[in-house]
Amino acid sequence: MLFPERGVHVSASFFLLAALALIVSPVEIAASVLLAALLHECGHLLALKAFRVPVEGLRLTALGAVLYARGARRLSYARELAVTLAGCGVNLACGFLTALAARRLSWEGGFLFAGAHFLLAAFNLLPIPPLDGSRAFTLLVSFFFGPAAGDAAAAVTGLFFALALVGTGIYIAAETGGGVLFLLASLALLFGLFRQVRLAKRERKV
Amino acid sequence: MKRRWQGRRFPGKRGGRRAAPGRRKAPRAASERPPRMIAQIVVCGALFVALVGLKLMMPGHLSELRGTLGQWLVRDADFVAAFSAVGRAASGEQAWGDSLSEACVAVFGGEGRAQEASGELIGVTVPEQDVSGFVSERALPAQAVGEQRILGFSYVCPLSGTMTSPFGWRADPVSGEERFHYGVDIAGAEGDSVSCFADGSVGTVGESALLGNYVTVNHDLGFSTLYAHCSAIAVSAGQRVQKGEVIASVGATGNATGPHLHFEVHDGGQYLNPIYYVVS
Repeated sequence: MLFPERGVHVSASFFLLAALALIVSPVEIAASVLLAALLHECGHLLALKAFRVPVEGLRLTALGAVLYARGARRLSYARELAVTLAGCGVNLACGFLTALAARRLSWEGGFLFAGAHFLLAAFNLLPIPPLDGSRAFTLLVSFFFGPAAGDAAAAVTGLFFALALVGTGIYIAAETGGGVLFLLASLALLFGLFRQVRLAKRERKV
Repeated sequence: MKRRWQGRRFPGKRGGRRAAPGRRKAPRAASERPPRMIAQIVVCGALFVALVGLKLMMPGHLSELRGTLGQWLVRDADFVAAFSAVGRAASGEQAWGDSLSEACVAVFGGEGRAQEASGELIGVTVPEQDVSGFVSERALPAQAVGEQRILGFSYVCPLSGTMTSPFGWRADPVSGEERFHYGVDIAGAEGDSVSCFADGSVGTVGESALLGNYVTVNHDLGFSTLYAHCSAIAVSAGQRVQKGEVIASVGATGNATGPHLHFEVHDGGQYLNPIYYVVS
């Protein structure tokens, strides 16, 4: 939830991702993921609203949407954890409900939409900054050992996971003789991690 | 409850390094963005608009570009199948283990996907053959099942013709490497009708560089079937289909050198030998 500007911003990487999604994936995948992402952000928004925290901005990037709400930093650890996990919570709830409806109605598209919710939640729970999983991990460590330890632990864990994903991406690309999407996604996560750490440092200096 | 500012560096607590709210620098206006960022957004936005325009005005060219990019980015990954497998597990229709394995196979391919290219004719006509010659004696991959399973519903052979490649280990006609063939190939003439194996609902209608135009049908009790390399698909996802109903036409799309049907029978995440179900 860190970036230096307010208002709605769309990063260059978002356009690239949208173009790639339009070309490579079937329309139903792109639509399902976008809708799941929208509901994910609604989860964060509702939680922020419940704790009366104003939302100041929104940034769309290749890694998803990032809400800017400086007021969230004034919440207790437990409340910020609730805000952080609200997006994934909404995805899991919607995923289960859609999957059950799809089974009852023999609705094939419903299984796909439910899958999009679960996979989006799983992706967001990766402990790599700026994803929700990393923020939740930071908050938990900060609660027990202080904020400095939380930030450091999140950065180190994120770097470990991002490098492991990059390694897996290289392995998959080599094994399949192509299939570099996973590698590109993991490199984007690594890049996002460095960017987030840089922004966090800048914010601490302000 | 422990408050978060206990032990936390915060404005006014320790050092006071954070500026007072009144003195905080105003955020940069859009007009003050660095030229590099504006250039990035313009280039990426133009690329996005160009690709959307290409898709609308020249769908043929885009399909070609999609094939090339798809091969480079995702090979023959089938995201629809992967997403649906996860959704199916959440609904309780399929075990999580089977679904995750199915999703991995759909995305990362490898030995789990049908490795195709038309084989040489072996002169066996499907309705008249002896099955025993097509049951592999060598150890099968984990997801392949050698023995016959009782399906519990009636079915028909989707296409009568000459079987060109059975279920089992074979030298890949393209790379020469030994790979497992997870279905059977039945040769036919371009445009021949492909019948639905049994009653069910259409799962996925897709197109991949490897399988060409393909369709999957979900049957009762967790069984499903795949029909690949079709020249055309006559049904759409979610549609109810009946046993024997024409769902596609034989073709040579994808990685195939001649018109044939690649047919697979799945039991959840496992691949069954279709030979038991295509003989009369």
